[in-house]
Amino acid sequence: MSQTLGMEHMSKRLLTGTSLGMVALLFFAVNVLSNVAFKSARLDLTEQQLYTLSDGTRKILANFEEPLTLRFYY
Amino acid sequence: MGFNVRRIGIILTRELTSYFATPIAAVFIVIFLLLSGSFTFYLGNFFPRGQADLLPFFNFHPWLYLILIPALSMRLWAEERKEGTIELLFTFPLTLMEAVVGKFLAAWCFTAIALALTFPIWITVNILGNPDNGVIIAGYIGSLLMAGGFLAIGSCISALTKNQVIAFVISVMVCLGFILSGFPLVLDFFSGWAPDFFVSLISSFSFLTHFQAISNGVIDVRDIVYFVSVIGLWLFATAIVLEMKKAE
Repeated sequence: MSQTLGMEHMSKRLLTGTSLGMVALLFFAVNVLSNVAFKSARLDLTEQQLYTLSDGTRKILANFEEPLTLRFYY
Repeated sequence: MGFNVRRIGIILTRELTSYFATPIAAVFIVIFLLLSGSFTFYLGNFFPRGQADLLPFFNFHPWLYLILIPALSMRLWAEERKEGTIELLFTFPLTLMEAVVGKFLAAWCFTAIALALTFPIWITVNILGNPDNGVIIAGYIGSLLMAGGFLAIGSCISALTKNQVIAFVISVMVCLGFILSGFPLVLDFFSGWAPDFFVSLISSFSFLTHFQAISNGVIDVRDIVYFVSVIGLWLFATAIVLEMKKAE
C-alpha cells in the first residue's frame, strides 16, 4: 500500500519538476523570439518624438548614394 | 483549467477590500510614499540637478519594490497555507488558476493605487518646470509592470513555504537576482563556463534593463513581452507549486 503511494508521490514530483522546466523553457523561448522578431516595434511617448526618425531624416536616407564617404576634420 | 473572469473579479474585490480593512494598506502606502518622496528629493538630488524630469523618482523604484513588494506578496499564500484557510478557499467554486490570478491582481491593484498616490510629485515637477509628460507616463507604466513582475515572483515563493519570513527573505533574494542579472555580480557566476549567448541571455533578463528602457520614454514591444512573460511564468509556477503542495 505504502509502496504504491510512494510511487504516486514520486511521479507527482516528476510532473511538477517537468512542468516547471517546460514553463521556464517557454519563457526563454518567448523572450529570445521576441528579441529577434520585434526589433522595431516601439511606441515613442516623448513629447518631442526624440526616439523617432523625422520625415526629413527619412528623405535624406532615401536619397543616399552608396558607398558613403565620411571625412573627419580635427 | 477554467478562466471565469467574473469569479476572478470576485476574488479580486474580496482580497483588495481585505487589504484596506487592516492596517496593511495605511502602513504600506504611507511608508511607500514617504520613502519614494524622500529618496527623490534628498538621495536623488532632485533640486541640485535642475532638470525637469522624474528620473530621480523612478530610479529608486526597483529598490523600493525590492523590499516592499516581497512584504506584500509573502502573505499571499504562506499565510493561507499556515492557517489552513487554503482548504476553505478551494471549497468555493473556484479553479486554482483563478485563485492565483485573482490574488495576484488584487496585490497588483493595491500597488497601482500606492503608485498612483505619488501624483503630487508629478504635479510638483510640472509647477517647477516644463517636463516631458510622455516620458513620465512611460515611467509609470514601466514601474507598474516591474511591480507586477516582483509580485508574481513573490507569489510563487510564498506558495512554496508556510513561513512568511522565509517567503520574504527568499523573494528578496530572487528579485535581487532579477534586478542584478545585468551586473557582473551575477554574470560572473556564469561567464566562466556558459557559452556567450547564454551569458548575454541572462543579462537581457534584468528588470533594470527593461525598466530603464521604458523610462526613457519609448515603450518597446520586447519590454512589454518581457514583463508579461515574467508575470505569466511565475503565476503559472505558483499554480504548479500549489497543486503539488495540495497532496501534502
